[in-house]
Amino acid sequence: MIATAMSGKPAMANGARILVTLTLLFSLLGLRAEALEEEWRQAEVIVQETSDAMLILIEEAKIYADEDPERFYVAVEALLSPVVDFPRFAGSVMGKKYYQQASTEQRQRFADSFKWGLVRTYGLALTEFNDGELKLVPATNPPRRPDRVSVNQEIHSAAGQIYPVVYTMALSKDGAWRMRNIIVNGVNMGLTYRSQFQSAAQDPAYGGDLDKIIDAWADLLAAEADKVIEETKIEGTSTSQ
Amino acid sequence: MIGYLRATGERALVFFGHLGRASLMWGNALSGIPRWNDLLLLVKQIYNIGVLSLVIIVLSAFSIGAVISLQFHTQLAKFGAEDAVGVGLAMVLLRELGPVVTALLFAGRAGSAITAEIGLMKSTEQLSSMEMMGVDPLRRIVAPRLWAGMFCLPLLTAIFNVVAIYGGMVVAVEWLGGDPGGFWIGMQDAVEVWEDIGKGMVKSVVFAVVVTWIAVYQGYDTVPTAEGIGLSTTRTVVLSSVMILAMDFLLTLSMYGDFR
Amino acid sequence: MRLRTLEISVGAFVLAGALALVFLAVKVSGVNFTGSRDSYTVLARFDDVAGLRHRAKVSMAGVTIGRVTGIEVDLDYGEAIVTLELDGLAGVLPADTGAQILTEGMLGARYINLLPGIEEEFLEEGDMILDTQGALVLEKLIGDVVTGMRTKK
Repeated sequence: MIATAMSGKPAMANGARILVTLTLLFSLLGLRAEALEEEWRQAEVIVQETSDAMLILIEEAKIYADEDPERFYVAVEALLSPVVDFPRFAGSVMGKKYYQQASTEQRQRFADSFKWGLVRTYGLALTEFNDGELKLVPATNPPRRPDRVSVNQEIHSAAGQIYPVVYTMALSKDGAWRMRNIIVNGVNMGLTYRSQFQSAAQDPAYGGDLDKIIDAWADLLAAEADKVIEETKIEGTSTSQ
Repeated sequence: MIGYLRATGERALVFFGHLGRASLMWGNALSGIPRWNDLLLLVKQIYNIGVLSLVIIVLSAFSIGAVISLQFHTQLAKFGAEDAVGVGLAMVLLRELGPVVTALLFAGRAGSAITAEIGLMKSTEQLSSMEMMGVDPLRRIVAPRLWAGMFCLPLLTAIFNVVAIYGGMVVAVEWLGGDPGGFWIGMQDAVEVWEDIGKGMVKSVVFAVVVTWIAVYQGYDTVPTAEGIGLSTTRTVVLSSVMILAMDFLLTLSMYGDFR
Repeated sequence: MRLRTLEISVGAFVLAGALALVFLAVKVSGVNFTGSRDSYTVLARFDDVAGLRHRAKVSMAGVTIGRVTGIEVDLDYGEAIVTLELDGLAGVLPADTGAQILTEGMLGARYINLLPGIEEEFLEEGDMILDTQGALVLEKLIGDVVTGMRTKK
């Protein structure tokens, strides 16, 4: 468009001049819109890169994960910390009432407990993820909020099943996209955990004591992790499906 | 064979004749500007038709409400869903049983009374003497009864619904130990003003028009003998009942039917 | 029959009927006549609203705070947009409040449950709740994912 406008006769009529200016303006706007689109596509790039890195990590970990699972968990945590906003994720699990009630120390403790709980629970399941594929499904529409992008991905297991995963990415003040929530197979994990936290807070067994709940949460997730480990062991040792 | 066809054809013509006469009667009775005197007649008819029907309506309502509540409770208890008695009771009453049963009882009590009264007036030549005196029997006799009937039945239906729900509550909550909160809140959550109460009232108005019309016409068209009055009265009740049920079917289909 | 008695009984009958209608409206259907209460509208997007009906309740912490007043499809995004009418004034719920579709009671009536979030900005009139959980059976699916991700050794 610009090239055509430039290659005209040297002496242009006023009308043509206006036309050229307008054309330039509109093409610049188009570029600007593309630039804006680039911003939220960045979130998808982050997800893709992290997923690729995760697959490599899992592959490497196969060697040592059985004997030294902690090493794997630490590696996973190191990989995810820059791209997953664990403090925010954990905070939103607490929900408005308890987040406001909690002290900075309590919020930090819960964020750590939450982070490691997740890493351990799903970390082991990840090591069993053989020959699978993580396929990014680019969005066809811009996000409803420019600073919140839902990135769609499909987990293709070796058995041929496809699980949809949606990462809710938020644009931080430092310009980086970080994950705030994850929706696995249609189940909104953030909301599910938030609901569970609320139930625990109302449970008379804890009497609304945040410290008790935070400690209990680690146990809850640890219990779930044990369950996953047990089931994995049983599944692993059986020869038939 | 030909004879059969002819008979059917004749019956059809007779039917249309009745329908025509009934429509003319209705039209003539309801047209014309009501006067102050007419109001007194109307009030008297409301008394005869509405107030005197209260006893049977209230008694039946209480029994029906109680019985339905009991049956629902028994069945729902199998699923541990006793709290749903309130909802089920209200829905069934407001949408179906309230309008239909009230109309059936009304046809039996008030409808037959109307037919008998008018029929008797016809047989004892009161109607024709009225005409000769220059008083329009349609205005003095028929119209007040028509208006009263159309006015009373919806009110009676509302009263029926309330008493029946009360009867149901007595059984579900007091006798069977259900949770009163669950009974009422569940009901309030599920019942909608237009969808359930409103449409039920619409049915009741339709029934009111149908029953009153049939009752008045049968009386007006009576064969003026003792036997004739009895026949007309019976016909009122039977015809009204059939029409109520048939119209209920059609109304329910059109109001609540969901065809894809 | 004296005229007075007749008039009184007719009057009483009409009154009874009118009261019955009012009773039905108020006690049976729960319509409130406490004047027009404050309310505001908020949208919520879901990927699946199976079983959710108009006038379904919206609750938070176990208390009913509103009703569903509209369910529409957004063909562009392939989502269902639900309109919620909430009691009170806007600006109370954080912008990252979550909305779940849950099932209640034996008869399986679907309703919306709100879980307040922690953002400092609030939902105003016409804003959309983005963080949602559609109508699903949760436990089964979490189990499916964890099971499915494991393969034979």
